[in-house]
Amino acid sequence: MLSLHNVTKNYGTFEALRNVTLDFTPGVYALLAPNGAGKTTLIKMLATLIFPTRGEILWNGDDIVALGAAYRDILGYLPQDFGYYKNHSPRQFLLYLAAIKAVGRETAKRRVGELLETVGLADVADKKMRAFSGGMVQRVGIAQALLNEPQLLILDEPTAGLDPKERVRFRNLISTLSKDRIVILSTHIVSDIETVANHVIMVQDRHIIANAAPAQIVSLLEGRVWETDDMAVAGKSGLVLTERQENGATITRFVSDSTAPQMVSAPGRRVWPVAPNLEDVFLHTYRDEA
Amino acid sequence: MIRLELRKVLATPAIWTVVLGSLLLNALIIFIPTDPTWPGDPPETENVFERFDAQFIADMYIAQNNLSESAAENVRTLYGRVQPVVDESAKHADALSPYLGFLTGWVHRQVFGLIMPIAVGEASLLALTMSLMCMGHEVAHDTEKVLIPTVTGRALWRVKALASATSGLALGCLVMGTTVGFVLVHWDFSQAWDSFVSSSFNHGVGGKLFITWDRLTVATYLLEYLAVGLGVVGCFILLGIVMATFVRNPWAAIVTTVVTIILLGVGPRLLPQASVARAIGESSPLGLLLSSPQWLTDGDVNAIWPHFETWGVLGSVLILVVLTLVAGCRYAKAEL
Repeated sequence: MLSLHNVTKNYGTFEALRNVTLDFTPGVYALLAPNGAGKTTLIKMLATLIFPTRGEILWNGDDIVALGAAYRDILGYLPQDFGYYKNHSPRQFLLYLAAIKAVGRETAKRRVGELLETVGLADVADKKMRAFSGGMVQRVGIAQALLNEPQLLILDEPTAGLDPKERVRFRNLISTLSKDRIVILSTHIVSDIETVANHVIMVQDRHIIANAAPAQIVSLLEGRVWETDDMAVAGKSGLVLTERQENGATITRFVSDSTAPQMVSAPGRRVWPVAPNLEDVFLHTYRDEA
Repeated sequence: MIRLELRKVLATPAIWTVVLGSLLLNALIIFIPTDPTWPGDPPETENVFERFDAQFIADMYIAQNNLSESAAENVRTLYGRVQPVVDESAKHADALSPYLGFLTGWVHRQVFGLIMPIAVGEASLLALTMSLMCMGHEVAHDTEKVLIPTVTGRALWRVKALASATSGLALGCLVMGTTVGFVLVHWDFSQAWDSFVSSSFNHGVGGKLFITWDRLTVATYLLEYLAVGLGVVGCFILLGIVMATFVRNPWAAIVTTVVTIILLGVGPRLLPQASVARAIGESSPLGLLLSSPQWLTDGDVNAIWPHFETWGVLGSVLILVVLTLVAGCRYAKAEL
């Protein structure tokens, strides 16, 4: 189990995270926060790239910094901006990383072959990555994070650059992996979270503001999300979330604490309740964020 | 692990371009026919150390450089220590057989005053470049965030430092060794290995003898020169490791290193000649490189200690090893 106890991180006088306490057991955890909320700071601490100013991060009761290589041995990490060697092929790069991860040579060869199949790069395994698209590079990044069969997998924006088909394949992969390990996903793509996450952790203004199952998070807005074809109603009645075109009309989705009849302002204008989703919660929660 | 790091930097075409360029330059200097010609028979060897008063050199330096009293005292003290060395050479009538006729002195000055200093300079530059490249490789490729959260983790810094040292010394040996090979191919040293180097340089400017602190033959002089050269190369390797660790942006590290080297070269020249401060300042890796034609000898006016090159290398290595250890400790706790 991974635990954070009152973790605070300061950069000089700037406080990036304050008194974060979290427990992770096997499953998929989605970190949901706008940029600058402290999400990357939290992930970097879990990846031992930076260290807490106060508090402790424990893996099965032991401090991860003190555990050192033993902790990193069970860790798989995909950073947000995944760097790679352009003049290496995916196979060369993954074999190099396998050596850095102390995976035995024969095991590494087998594992690299399997992972290249898994992420759909087997046919370009020996091509230089110089000409790879963003999505292909991202798939190499996902493969490297899985090389050592980690018990703790941390993925920062893993689906960035992936096309819809690749994204579905990735979600299926994460679902399979999460049966016996902790997967922590940081993403802006709410649909990824809705389909694979067991828990959603929301970070705002350096604090954890929610840590619950997606359904519980979504229930926070139960009965408060509406749609209307009268933009004036939406604007007067609450927070506008999204707009879409439907049958020549602009449908506005909004959050309001008022009930529907009170909001109907004129004959022929319609307001109807809709089921909230995670994106509604995200937009509502972070409405004041830049 | 070291092998993997070596493969990364040695696969860089720029490194091999510099290596080949260096060797080509050295070959051109050696093989392009510029040897002066003198008619007549080879000169006789002579015991130039007989009744030679080393204070003559001290007085010459003091007069030529208008030294302060304390600086003059430093020079006189040094040449007081040179006198027994001169007397010992006089007793043994140390001399180099003029096996290349009138060219003997010229060849030695060409080899140890021009070609080998250039080779050591090239080796040092290569070693510095290797260190900067090796240590800065992951920052340049943005792969540090992938490599550090692994079993190897921050120990990768040690692997890279060792790879820097290995590759720098190997390329240094390659450049210096190949250059020595060119020299031996062009000039026949077969009769000279056991001769003493000192008196071949007796035609030096201002009547200054070529005095080595130890009685060195051509063979031992060459070997000791190469050993000092490798020591200087080692200093530049450590300098590269320190710079690339403290200045994490690779381009900024290169600029900082160049500025540091320029300051190490210019700074001591602002100090009074033959002073202790100037002598210490000129013991920096760059100072040692610039003084390479005088290694193992009594040196120039600013070399106020016997074996200035050895103490310079030892001092520089010691300081740089301490800085390297500090850099390693800093990296272990660095926020990446």
